[in-house]
Amino acid sequence: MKGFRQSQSALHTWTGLVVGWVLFLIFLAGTLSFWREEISRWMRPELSVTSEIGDVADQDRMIEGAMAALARQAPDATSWAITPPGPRGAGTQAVWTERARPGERIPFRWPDATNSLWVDGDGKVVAVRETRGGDFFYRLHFDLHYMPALWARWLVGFCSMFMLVAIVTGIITHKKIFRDFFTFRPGKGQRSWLDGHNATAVLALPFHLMITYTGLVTLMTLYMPWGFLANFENTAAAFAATQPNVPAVKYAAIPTPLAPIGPMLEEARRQWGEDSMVGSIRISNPGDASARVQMGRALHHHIRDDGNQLLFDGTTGALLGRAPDGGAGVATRDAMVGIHAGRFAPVTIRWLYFLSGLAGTVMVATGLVMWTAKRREKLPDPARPHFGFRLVERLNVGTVAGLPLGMIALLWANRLLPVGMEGRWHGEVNMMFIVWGLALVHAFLRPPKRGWVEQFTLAGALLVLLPLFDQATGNGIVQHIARGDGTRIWTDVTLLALGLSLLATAIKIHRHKPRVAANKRRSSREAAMAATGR
Amino acid sequence: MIAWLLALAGFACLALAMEEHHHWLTGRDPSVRTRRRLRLAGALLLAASWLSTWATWGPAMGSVAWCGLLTLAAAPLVLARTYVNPRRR
Repeated sequence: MKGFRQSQSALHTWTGLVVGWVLFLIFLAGTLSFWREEISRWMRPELSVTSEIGDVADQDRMIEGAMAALARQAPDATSWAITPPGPRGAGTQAVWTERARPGERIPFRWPDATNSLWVDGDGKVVAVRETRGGDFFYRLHFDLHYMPALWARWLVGFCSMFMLVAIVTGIITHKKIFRDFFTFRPGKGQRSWLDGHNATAVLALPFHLMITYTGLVTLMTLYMPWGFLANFENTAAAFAATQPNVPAVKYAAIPTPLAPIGPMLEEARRQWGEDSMVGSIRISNPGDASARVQMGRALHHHIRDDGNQLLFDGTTGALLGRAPDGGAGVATRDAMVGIHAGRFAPVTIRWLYFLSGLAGTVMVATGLVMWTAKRREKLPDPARPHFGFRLVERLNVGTVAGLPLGMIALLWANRLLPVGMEGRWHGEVNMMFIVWGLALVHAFLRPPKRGWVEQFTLAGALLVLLPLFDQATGNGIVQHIARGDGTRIWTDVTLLALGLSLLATAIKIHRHKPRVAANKRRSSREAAMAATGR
Repeated sequence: MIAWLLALAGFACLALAMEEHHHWLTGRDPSVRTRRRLRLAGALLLAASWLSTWATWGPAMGSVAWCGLLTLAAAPLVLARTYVNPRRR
């Protein structure tokens, strides 16, 4: 039994280390994504207060406003996509895809200033700074950035599988899982790191297992398509049968006005039942005889992540069909995806998701630091560790402290870049990676302890200053309170709290003095604790 | 909130059912019978906490919320066990 446990321990250590830094990014970005709508609201301060646009009439007004704006702006588009805000969002986004000339292929572009517009609660177009908002962190979570999404998803899936292995082997390795359940022993070097790692892992274990497993399930048709392929000719056919999209209608080139959207919205809500809201609208070939309108239900009603797509004829407004019930298999998958993404979650449950996600992020971070804490005392010469040790040590600083620093820089870029700047959202995102890159360089140039302190201090200070900057520029927490804008108030409070806890971490690392010990082994161990930031 | 308090109480009972933590609080070692009773009370309180989440969110969302609440209830106990010394004179 001992041999088995030891082999599991080694597996846990190395699967955790190899993908640890990517996992930290996945965990942190995913955790932030639980506040995707709130972050979007923060990054688009031009939009009006959420509480003012809550009911069906508001939704209709905004959608009609968006349709009118699209008809002016892009009458010849291949498709329009309209996304009204959910209960936590603000503003309706309207995106269009230009019609390609024969032989031309229009590359995919995220919504930006040239292919999208925003409609505020009054149904009128409002100028909004170009930003990806919270959607960036959501995509970063599984598509990463600067690389094709498909590669990224394979990489993320690979890391998630390692994560699952690390969790299972971690449970096996951690033999005193129940005896240590309530235990944390600070100030004991490696032992404390282990306790911290165990506490964040065990206390939120249901979450960690759920989120890793269901995370793999969200992309299961990419990772394991064989179940599909056994029953269908190819994955496209399988998708068509289980979650029908708009059947490709041929562009007729016969100008025909669109039917009014109001009755279609009403019919959609009737089909879905009481208190349903529309979550998404997609119109293909608007203004043509072949126009089709596809509507998806808002996802905040229930756990299952199913859109209940409806299809209308765009010229007559007649209901053409609805997505067939996919059966138990599809329902199971939808439930797993739903529980992973937490789109259903009311704000209390959302906080639980967020805190559990933070626990997971800290679990990954403490695991990474522990790798060095454990090995430092065994180093032949602790003053000059070997290359691999130094690499891990510095990557830890540059990622665990550097990535949050980069993300905070992105938030600052959102406030500071000129509002009319071309390619503005790219500027924001580039800022994150530039600052993260600089943090990595910094981590390799400075002694580890100084690196931790300096990066956490900078990150904490920048985060605390954000709400203060908003206040100084006249749209801060005082104004949010005056307007009764709960979301923005809580966002500012949360930013302050997170910033202060980063500063507290920095102070704690800075104050930590290794105790002078009698024997050499002891002192090298204390040095290890100091340098790794205890 | 009620669910969280129930979970907190449940975990507290489970902790006190363990010799180490019982000693920390009372300075005495619990008898086997006390430990068994505390364990039972803890389990019942956790179950009650689970059921009370149903009242607010229904069985499906309630169960999800309960898992999160368990984390949030156990964490303060860990911190209290670490940083509070109940028997300091």
